[in-house]
Amino acid sequence: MRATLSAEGAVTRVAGPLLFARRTVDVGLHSAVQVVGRDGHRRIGRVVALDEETLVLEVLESTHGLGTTDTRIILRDEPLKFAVGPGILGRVFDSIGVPIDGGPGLPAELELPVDGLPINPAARLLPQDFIETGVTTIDLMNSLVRGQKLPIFSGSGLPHDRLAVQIAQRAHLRGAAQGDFALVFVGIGVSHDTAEVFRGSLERSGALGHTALFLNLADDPSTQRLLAPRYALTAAEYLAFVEGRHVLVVMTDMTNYCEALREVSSSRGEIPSRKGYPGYMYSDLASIFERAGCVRGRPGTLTQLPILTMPGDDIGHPIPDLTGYITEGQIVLDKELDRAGVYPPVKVLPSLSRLMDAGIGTGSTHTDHPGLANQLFAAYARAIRVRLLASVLGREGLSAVEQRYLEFGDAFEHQLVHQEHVRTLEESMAAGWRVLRLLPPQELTRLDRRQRAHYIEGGQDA
Amino acid sequence: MAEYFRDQGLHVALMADSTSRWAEALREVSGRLGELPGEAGYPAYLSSRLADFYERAARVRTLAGAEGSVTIIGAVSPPAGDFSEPVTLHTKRYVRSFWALDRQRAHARFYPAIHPLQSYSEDVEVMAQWWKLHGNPDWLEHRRRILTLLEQQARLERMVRIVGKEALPPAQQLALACAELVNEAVLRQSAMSRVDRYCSPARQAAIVKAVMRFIELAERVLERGVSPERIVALETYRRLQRLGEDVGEDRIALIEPLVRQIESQLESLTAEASDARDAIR
Repeated sequence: MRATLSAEGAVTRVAGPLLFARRTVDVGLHSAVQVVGRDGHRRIGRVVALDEETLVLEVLESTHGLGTTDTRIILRDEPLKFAVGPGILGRVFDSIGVPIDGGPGLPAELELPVDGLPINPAARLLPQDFIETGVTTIDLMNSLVRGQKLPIFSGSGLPHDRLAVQIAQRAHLRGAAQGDFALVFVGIGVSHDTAEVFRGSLERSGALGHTALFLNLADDPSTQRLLAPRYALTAAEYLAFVEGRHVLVVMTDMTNYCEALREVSSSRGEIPSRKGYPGYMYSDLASIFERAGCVRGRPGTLTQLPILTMPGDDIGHPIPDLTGYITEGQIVLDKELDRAGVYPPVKVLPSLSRLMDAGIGTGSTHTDHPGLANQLFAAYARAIRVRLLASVLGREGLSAVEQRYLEFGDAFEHQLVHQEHVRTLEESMAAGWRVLRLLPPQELTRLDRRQRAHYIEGGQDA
Repeated sequence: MAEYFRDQGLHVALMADSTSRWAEALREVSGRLGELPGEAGYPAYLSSRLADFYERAARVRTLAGAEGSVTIIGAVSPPAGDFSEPVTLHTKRYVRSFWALDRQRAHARFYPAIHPLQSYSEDVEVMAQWWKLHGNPDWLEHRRRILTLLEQQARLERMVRIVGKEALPPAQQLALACAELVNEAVLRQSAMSRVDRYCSPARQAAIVKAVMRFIELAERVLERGVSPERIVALETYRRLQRLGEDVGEDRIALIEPLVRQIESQLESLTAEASDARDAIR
């Protein structure tokens, strides 16, 4: 145990979530602190900047009522830690790991730093095992693999919360490893009603039994928002690398996280970069997303599915832009499809899973999976081009083949992308072959002769 | 490290992915230093730092007399694919060859998604000499022909959007079909296929020659009154589209008989057309 130092009356200024104090004791950056006000309540916080004279502390709870003269700071020269232990599944926590489900405290087995333990780069393995989410556009066309980080780019008013909950309830592994699956669900800056929806639907479906739910509410201090994903990932790392489970971390909404980052940065007086976001936003996001992965010699894996809403639906905005740099692909949701009643409104063409190739095909999913996905992409891209043409020329101006493409495009959106119920991969593939049969067989140049004969001309679904 | 190997007389390729993220770090550190931000928040010295990096690519004679080189392949990932942002613009000032990855092609899973018209190389003449020694003396001519065809396709597609494909004269309809053939048979490879993932210079040359032969003959046949639909419906047109996938490195010799088949199929089309004309007379 490290020595605990205490300083009283050192505080010079309180600004929002930040506390400025004279540096009367020597501590390191990101050390944990406790701040005690005149009410005697202990608030936790951490050191975020220091120089010769001053110490800047980030308080993770409300700073209401803190004064300058009567505030005591208790410093421990160690980073913020999260005490984790078995029994973490099935529980609901706030953003700093305190149970808020009325249950007892967590039996602690290990204290892990919330910033994570670095993974030895040489021990990282390439993710390559398929996770089935029950969503056709993800399973069939942009497959998620264990250890991947695949964000969902959404917009305001789109049903990303519904999709997140659905994936959380249904996602599972194929084959023998099914029982080892666990879920960590983090709501970042969500409103009370959304938080209730998350909790209620996970409870009702029974998924809460293998889930650790972290809820950071919209009216929690913004400094806590910065720590919510870190506490959740610490729990996930414990589940994955200590208990050996395959963990899927769903984080919604990362845009709220970045907004909090901007807010805290500007109250620290830092020089803003693009659109007022701090210049280090890229490194900061990387410190979250890079905690996904597979490690040699450890049975568990950590997969991330962050969800973010694109401000103004602009994919070039710093948040989606920097996220896209770090993550391995993206799933893009689209307003137009949503208005057309398609659920989930996944815009297939700009969506991409960079690790898909390693996770599908012979030996992992189905021999014909890559060919089918490839052909669907090519045909749908052509259908979109034809649709553009039809909007100018009218349907009559199109050739017979082009008309078939138009039909294919509509069927693709309403019969393949749209789904009332979850589909297994086999059902998704069958739906894929069905829509491809709307096209003349000689157009399907990305399929080989056997696939064409069996599925298209032979009319087989499997 | 690349220069260390270069000085041992080796030829080194250095892949940097991605220089945008490197520029991102430059921006972050510059912000921390409290420097005044320039364009899009990047420091004003971005362009000279980029030059410092790319100018280290070189071909040298080492002190020991051997020849060594460093070739830099830098990836730039501009936000939302906008090529007018600072990192892309400044990079283009210092490089001799530019491969523009195209969003539309990538969305259609057209691999590699290099846009043939936006990309360029300033070393075409040198490459023509190289191809002369490596199996395709007509490379420069083929390249020029393919680029004109693709250029023509881009222009025609704009027009098709207004008047419709049916309204185009047969020669232009054929040009569109040929451009499509070039895209599918020559430019597209399949990353998922073990056979088609890589393409040796010899195979490239054989495929290009087969496709060029088809185009040349198709144009000649068109002049004799065969409709573009008939040409596109030919079995060899489909086979050419899947050539990269069906003919592996060890079976390049199979392309030669295919060319013979193309010649005979187009020949018979001409014969039919002239028969039809005779019948009308």
